Amino acid sequence: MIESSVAKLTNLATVLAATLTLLSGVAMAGAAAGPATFGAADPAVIKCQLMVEMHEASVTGTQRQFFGYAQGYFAGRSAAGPATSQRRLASAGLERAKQFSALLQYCEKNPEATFEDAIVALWNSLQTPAP
Amino acid sequence: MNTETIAAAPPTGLWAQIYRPPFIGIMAFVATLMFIPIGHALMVLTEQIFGAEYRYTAAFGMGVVAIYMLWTGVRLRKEAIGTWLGFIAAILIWTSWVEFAFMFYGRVLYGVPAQIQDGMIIRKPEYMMMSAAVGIMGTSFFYYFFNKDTRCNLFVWLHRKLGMNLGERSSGRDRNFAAITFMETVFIMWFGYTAQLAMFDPSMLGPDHPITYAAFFICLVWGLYLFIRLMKYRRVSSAVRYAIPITLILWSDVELMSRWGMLTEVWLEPGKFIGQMVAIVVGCILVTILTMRSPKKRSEVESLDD
Repeated sequence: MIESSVAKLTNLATVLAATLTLLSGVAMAGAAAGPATFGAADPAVIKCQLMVEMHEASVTGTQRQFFGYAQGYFAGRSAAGPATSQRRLASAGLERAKQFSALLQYCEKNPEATFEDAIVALWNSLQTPAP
Repeated sequence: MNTETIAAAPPTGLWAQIYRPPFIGIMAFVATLMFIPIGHALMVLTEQIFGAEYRYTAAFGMGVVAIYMLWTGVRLRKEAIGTWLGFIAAILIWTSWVEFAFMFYGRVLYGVPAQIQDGMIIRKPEYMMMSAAVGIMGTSFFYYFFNKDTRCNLFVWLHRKLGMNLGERSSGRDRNFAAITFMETVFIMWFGYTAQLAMFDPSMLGPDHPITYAAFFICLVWGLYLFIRLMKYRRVSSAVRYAIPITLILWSDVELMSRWGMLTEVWLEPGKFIGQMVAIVVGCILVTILTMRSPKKRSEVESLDD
């Protein structure tokens, strides 16, 4: 009884119409930009707790994005200040890993802080390289 | 004929009543349903126990076990045990090789960032990697769809409705049920995952999109319709194979309800919900054993190489 009723409902025309509706809906929805972002839209304002969670969920991607942002911060602040206060982050190797680890550790200890706070702390901890 | 299998079957009384429709279908459904949360919990436990350093090695080992199970099912060439081994191997291989391979490439190797919304992680890299495999899924879909020997009810129905004459179907006598069930399970899971990921992704549809709500009700009605049909099954092995897609279709609704905050997925926090997980595992084992001990029909008892 139920089977025959359902079978009547699910004829080919219904299936095709539903499929076309679904596909057109996907196409229309795909064109609109969603509120979500892939990675942080602005790493500076990201809460440290989220940064740590992001690092757990995506080790390489988070490191790449957040360390890249920190490098930019260091480059900008160095360029704006006098030559004697210039600092820079390593681009590769063990030193880079250590510097990122310092950022991560700051965030683990200060979950309510922002990532910018972590960068400022790192800036303050690094010494100006010898001329 | 395998007389041992017949001897193992409970003959009379209450047991005989249980091994009749609709209980055969209900048992098959419950057993297959409970394997899904167990697979989820297994993945979470692998991550937590082995940590970021050893989880991929552990997953590789788990996948090898799954392949061995599949090989055992293929080699035995018996319908009942082959169906179960194929199904469990598929759950295990998906949990291990598939999920962890996407995880390794997404999280570690290629550095795919997590998807963020309202200060929360809404999607991890492995699921974005998985979404990207949609083209391969679509491509391999047509290999199975154009197969004249397919026993998939949906495909057969579509062939009939679309007037597709693919030629005469071969005899099913030499079918290897372990391999068939394995691939059926993997493919339906793959399809289900891809569809769900599109629905969960706010840059495509999002959990509050009308299509997502429509998909929820389509899956509910479709799943219930198939469930009603399952109640008429008299053979346990074919009931189990029929229950697999029903389980996975209805599981889409479970995932959606979880996304809407309507339920807590206890299997994603097995360490916190130990009692519930123990109940699911024990229940799964008991019902699976019940289905395995059911009286076999002649076609199920005969070894395929007899």
